[in-house]
Amino acid sequence: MVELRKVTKDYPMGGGVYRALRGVDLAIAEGEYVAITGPSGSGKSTLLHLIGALHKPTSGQVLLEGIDLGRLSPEELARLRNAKIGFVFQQFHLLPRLTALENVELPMAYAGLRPKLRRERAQAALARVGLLEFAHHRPNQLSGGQCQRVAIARALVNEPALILADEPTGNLDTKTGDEIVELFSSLHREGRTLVVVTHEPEIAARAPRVVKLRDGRIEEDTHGDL
Amino acid sequence: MGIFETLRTAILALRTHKLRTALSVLGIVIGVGAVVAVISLVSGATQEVKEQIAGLGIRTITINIFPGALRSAASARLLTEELSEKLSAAPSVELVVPTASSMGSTTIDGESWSVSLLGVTPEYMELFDDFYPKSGRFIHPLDEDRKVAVLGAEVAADFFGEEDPVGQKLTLEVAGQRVAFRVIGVMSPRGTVGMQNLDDYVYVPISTLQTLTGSRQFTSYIAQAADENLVEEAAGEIEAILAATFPEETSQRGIVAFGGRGFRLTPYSVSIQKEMISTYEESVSTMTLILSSVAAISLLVGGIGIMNIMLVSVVERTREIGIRMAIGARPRDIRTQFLAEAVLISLFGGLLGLGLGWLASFLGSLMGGWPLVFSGYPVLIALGFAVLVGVTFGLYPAVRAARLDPVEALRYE
Repeated sequence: MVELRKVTKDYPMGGGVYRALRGVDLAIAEGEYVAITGPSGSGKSTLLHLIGALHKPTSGQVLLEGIDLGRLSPEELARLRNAKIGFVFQQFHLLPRLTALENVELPMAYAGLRPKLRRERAQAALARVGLLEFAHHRPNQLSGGQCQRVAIARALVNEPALILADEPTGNLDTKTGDEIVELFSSLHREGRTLVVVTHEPEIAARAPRVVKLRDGRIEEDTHGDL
Repeated sequence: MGIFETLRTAILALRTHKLRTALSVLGIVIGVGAVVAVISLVSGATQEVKEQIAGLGIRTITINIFPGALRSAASARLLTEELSEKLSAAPSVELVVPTASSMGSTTIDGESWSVSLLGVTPEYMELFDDFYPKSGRFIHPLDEDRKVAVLGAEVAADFFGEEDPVGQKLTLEVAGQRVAFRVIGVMSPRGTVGMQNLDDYVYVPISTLQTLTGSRQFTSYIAQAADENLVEEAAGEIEAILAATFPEETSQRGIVAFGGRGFRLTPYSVSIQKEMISTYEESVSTMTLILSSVAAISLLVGGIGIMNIMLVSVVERTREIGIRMAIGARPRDIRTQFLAEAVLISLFGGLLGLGLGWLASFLGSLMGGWPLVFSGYPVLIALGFAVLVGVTFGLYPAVRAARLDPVEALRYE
């Protein structure tokens, strides 16, 4: 599903270069649930952005279903993100002017789906996260946990190959966070591929496989059920 | 993302900043308003010019010789009917008709009325289109020296009302003598041509009028060029003939619009209507230039205003752009969305400007006296300009939005 080969990523910083990733090899199979963890600055968000086709590696290769992301144009990367990847962010990143339903419909609008089909599928996705009755609420009328569920519905709605979450419980209280993690576990049981970045060990512990990063390198990779 | 979706998104974004959007279109409103006003002014004025040209008979050339200004007595002796023949020999001239004018008066019910008499030859009628006897006939070669008169439409109505004047007597006081004219015809209404109202004359044979006034000099002529495009050439030929006929005199080309009287001191004047029209056209084109400059500057300022607003909008919505990119918006989707907003803003301004322009041209036509011409194409021009400005000045902000790095955009606070 996902394969990283000798991946490095540099960022320009204060006239010099900051090397966020220093040669990462990683393979994630279909249906896996992987937690990426590590202290801040270890490169875990960078890794997620590379897998999520938001950035290209400085060197090495990132392959998603065999496609080398480094060779794609910004237009093609956008198409690929739209079709293959669903993002869940710490700050939810919903569009404030749109209702929950419209937020969930948005990826399908960029995919060019018919409005009627979009509406049906967005409703189904909201139902899946238990928020159908809040379909016409705006994000500011929803709690943090509800916002994150809407974001998860949005991530699911295009049936992506991969769901990527960046500190999905970071802005939530423990109880709500647990519910979100529980939702991830149930998505995993449905056979979806998930990669969750977290610095909280108890969240990471819920994933069958944990990849620990330190200083841009993989320090530990527990192939849990392998 | 489809076009309706994009427009809906753009409208939604603009609605959240109503005041800002309204203020940013001001330049476009004024610019498009000026464009619409220019178009309306030009088409109104053009129509007026066309009507004048049609009324004037563009081929008409007026020749006046002022005997008092002639330096030599030899020149004065040449003011005979032969001069008329000489002038009509010019290759670009089709017809030359001598005229003589005099004032007369008549008394109706104890009240004195003044009357303009015009001494003409039978060919005079041919100078003007749509000028024909409505009743009776025009002056005939056999009418020479006879006391017959043909009435202009207004004169006939004033003196005879509904009655048919043909065959009746009209007694006029001319050059101190009471003369009874027999009315032989009434002309169709023709209106004003150049400086003279054709409906306001009593036409008599030129020989009759010359006998009455005692002046046998032929001093006024109306010539007609063979073709509309030959008017200036014909005038030139006439001047050359006059210069050759009166070698001791100098020429001065007069402009009818300012009145022949202003040129009394020059011995003769050859006037063409074209000069009057071109004076008119010059003033129209000056106004057009001024309004066009206002339009161009306003559109430029308006465009910069839109660019400014869009750049602010791109910065404000950096995070939104990042989110949209993360869930699959392509750079071109982002670009289209911001371009659509810029075009919508300026279209909104364009519509307001259209209203303003129409209002301005309405007020302008009231004050300036030119006809108000409404047609569909200022709408197209106004909206076309608005879209052009929106695209031109919205492109840079839109491209900037599309080039944002999705990760950095998402992190933007």
